[in-house]
Amino acid sequence: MGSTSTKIKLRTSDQKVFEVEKAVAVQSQTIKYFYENGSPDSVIHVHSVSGDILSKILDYCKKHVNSAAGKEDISPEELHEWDANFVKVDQNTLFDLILAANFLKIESLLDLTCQTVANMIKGKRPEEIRTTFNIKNDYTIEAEEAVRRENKWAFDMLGV
Amino acid sequence: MSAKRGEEWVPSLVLNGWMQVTSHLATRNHAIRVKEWAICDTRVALLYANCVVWNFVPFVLNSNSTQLDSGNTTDGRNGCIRLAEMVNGDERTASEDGKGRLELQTWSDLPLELLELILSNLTFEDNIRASVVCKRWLKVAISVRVMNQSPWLMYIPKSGCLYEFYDPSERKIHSLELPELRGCRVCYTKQGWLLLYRRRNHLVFFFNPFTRETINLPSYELAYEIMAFSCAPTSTNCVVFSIKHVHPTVVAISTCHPGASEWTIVNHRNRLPFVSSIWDKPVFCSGLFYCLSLTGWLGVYDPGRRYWKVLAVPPPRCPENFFVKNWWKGKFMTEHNGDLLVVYTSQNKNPMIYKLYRSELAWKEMESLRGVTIFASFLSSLSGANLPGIMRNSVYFSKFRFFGKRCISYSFDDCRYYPRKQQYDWGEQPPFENIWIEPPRHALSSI
Repeated sequence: MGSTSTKIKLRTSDQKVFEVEKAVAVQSQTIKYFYENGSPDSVIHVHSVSGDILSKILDYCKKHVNSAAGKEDISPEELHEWDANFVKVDQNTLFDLILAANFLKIESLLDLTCQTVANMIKGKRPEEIRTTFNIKNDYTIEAEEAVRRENKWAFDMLGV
Repeated sequence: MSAKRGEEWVPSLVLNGWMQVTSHLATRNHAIRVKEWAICDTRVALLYANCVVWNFVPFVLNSNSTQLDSGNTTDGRNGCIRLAEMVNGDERTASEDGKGRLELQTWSDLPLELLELILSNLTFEDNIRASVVCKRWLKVAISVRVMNQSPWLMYIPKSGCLYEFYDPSERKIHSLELPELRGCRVCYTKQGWLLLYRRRNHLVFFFNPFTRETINLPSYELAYEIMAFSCAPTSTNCVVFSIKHVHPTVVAISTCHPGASEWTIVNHRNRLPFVSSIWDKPVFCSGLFYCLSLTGWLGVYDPGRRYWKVLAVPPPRCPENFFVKNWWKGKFMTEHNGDLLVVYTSQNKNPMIYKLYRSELAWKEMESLRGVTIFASFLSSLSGANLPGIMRNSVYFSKFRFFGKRCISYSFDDCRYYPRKQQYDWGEQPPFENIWIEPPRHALSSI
């Protein structure tokens, strides 16, 4: 089954070449478009994605394709848990996954990774968010105070 | 066609596989035969023409039409095609522009549309905190913040049929002639619908002042009893509820629904002393009708099981100087996301808010509404979240001052009334003069 199915060749930014089952690769709308608009045996370059990240993303696509096709006996709850474990990665990897999911147009992965980042923001004070994501505060003291003043309640209630 | 590296071409038309482009270097036009193209994200499209890859950056291609929509670019340049690289044989490249994301490695450089996706997953409260992170986050947080519309305060005229609606967010008054309401008493509002009673012919009916729709109910003779309904009468789940004190230990509960031929009236035992068994402030919350007795006991009616019960919840602690007149007119009840909230006002104290903790059978005082806004009026009170900034975390009362310039409100952020006054005595207010009503979106077009 696996050996006879169509494969798509992908080449990453670090020149790694992946041979991927078509059903898995076309989870990416970008790859699908390239594949359908070119000759079938050509290599598709995905310059903005590294080999490590692409390999992770292909794991994700494979899991979801197999589960949807019934090739793998996995309940929706188990798949949900698998997803939750999938995004338990360091911040740099998460960042790269978001960019790659966006570039490759894999909507469910983009939702999953963005939701993960949102969960990291939830319940945090602005200072904690800045530290978590290493973001520079470019407000003047007065400007920041003005934004806070408008919604004092949202800051008073934390830490309880 | 020959093109220099870096030369920019502005596409003007795509038609039948041909694209017309204009060079930025000189005023020359060119028609390119489009052999294939590919879109790799909303901002980058690669175009294959004459064995040349055109890195077609800032356009969103709409595959259903020949129109090219100019998208926003991160580098601020609009609409251009750049000669990116030559194609080797049959290999195709899905690469980004030279200034692409390969170099972006920190969260502060996350493209705006991705930051939008992330921040749109946040609750209102988290969204507000995220907006303080930096200026860029503020811009995005505000753009994805879902704002709700404020209810309007409807003024019921003593005579005539000119009704005024005050919008506290815009501080504007809108007027409507509503001859349909002549001789009627307003009983309740919810989701933009009024429940009305016309004494002359005992007619009970729904009326939507924004759409002018009327939905009649079977006639029913009302004395002083209160009424409420669960949801818009256009919904199949709509139940109308009325409760009347008939005896120190008996209440009569009447229910009905749009389309019914008559009211269902059932008497229920009510083990409370007389003064406590007069029910008021009806609220529909999580499938049940709640009402508050004059002395603050909570009664609950399950319309599905036709079951009435007075809950064993001790009444909220009254403020000092909470006189008998305040029992009736100085307290308000509403619900927010399944939580029951009670507002107690008194002459010279700040209002107090209690929330019902069902599992503990207790009312607990709240120090903050966590951004929620309560709209308190005698006949029915409403609540709302995600309202415009200045209105959040406040109680809006059903009166405005200063020639209609603003509503009287109490802010939990600042622990004070606006406009500033030591006290407002809601027990002295005429109770049937006005009611809060939720206008539909784009209500102004129907006025």
